Amino acid sequence: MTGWKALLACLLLVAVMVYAWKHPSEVEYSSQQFLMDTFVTVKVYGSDRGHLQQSVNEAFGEMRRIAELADHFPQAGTAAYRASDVCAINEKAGIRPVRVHSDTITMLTLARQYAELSHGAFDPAIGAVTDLWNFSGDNPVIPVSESIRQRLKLSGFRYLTVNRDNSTVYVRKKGVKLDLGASAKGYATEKAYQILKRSGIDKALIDAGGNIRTIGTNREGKPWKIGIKDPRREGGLIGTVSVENGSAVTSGDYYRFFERDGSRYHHILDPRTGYPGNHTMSATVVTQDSALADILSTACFVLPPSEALALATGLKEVDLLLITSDKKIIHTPTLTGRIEINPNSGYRYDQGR
Amino acid sequence: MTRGDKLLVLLIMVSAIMSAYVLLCNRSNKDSSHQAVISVEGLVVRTITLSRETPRQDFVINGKVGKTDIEVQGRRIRVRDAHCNNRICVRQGWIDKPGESVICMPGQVVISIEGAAPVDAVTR
Repeated sequence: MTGWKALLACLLLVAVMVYAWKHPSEVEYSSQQFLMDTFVTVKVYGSDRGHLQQSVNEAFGEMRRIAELADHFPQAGTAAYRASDVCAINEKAGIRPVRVHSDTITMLTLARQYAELSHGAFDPAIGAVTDLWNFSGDNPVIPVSESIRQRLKLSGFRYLTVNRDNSTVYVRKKGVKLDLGASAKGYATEKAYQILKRSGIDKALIDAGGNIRTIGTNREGKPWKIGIKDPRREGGLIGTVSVENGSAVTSGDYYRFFERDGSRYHHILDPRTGYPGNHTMSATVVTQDSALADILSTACFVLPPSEALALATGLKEVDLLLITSDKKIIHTPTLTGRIEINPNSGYRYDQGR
Repeated sequence: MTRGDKLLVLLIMVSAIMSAYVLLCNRSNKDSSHQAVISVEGLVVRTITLSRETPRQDFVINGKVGKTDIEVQGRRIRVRDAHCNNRICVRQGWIDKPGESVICMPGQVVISIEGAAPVDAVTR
């Protein structure tokens, strides 16, 4: 009689010990770095802190490598210039194809594909126009319309030829410049995600300046809860979206902008006009691949809302939420049930949409 | 009760107490008072507890491009003045909620409020 009770007691003791020992064993490791002109946070969970730390360092290394390949800002003659595939391609525009890294091929293949699909609402070969606006400079000014017209002639993905077999890229007209500002961060984030995934991490969040990529669930075992920024209220959220094993990327008119005569001039240019897009305050794309989310958030920001919704709806597993310039929140039906909209955000929201 | 019964009761009590301890520990971590963490170039240079009792104070942090003047008032914190060119960090004003942050890109200064945030991250 006491025999089985003693056995039961021993089992219970073992269970308690295992529980107490095992329970606090999931540790969080988080690290931040300034990368690609933004602030990147990588947060991972697991049992072995050393392994987590090493994986995160590798993920950052991968992001830095992609950033270097895609950087189009460095001055000629510098080490950063020599490391950049985009600089090499731009330098040889109209002269000859350039042999580039396989990641550059992948990035540009994707960019060109979606430039075509969005009818140029997203365009990787818009560098001549963005240089003219110079949003990253200290004192941006509105360029005269004639200059914009001239630069638009030196802009367009149709000048871009990507040859996968030879690993070469050719920009066929001199003066046309690639600018991967709207897609490289998403690709780098996706590559960092792959590094974490490959090293066996099953719970992680990468936040590259608001470009979010997640693995698994959050610490409580629920889908990651991602806030969507209120485009006009600092620190405010218009709502949240649940993201499990996927990414959420937003393009907004509030990130880099200046105001002249009551008008807002922001950094997301409509490649077809050369001026900032004006239909939308922010476009949030939720889909698995962060590189795609980055590209599509730009395209959907630039397109008129009805076209943006049509573009997203026509793609597989791409969800879109728009906050339009007339303060309406609209989204693809696929987001219903995964989003919560803050009723006091001050935007119009018809759930029926 | 036999000796075995007593042992069993004792063990159940011990396991209950240990479980409660583990659960409470996890919870108290989540509810802990908010901390503002200030870092420069990724390294933490200062942490401040933000509570109603925190006295008004200001101090200077040396960022990458010069001095950043930071002000704390009770539960909130802001960049009052900075030597960066765009001064986005100054314009942002006060922050007071966990998960919020002020980021000065040129100075590579980050102020973030830690604690249980209502969301895991913000897409922006």
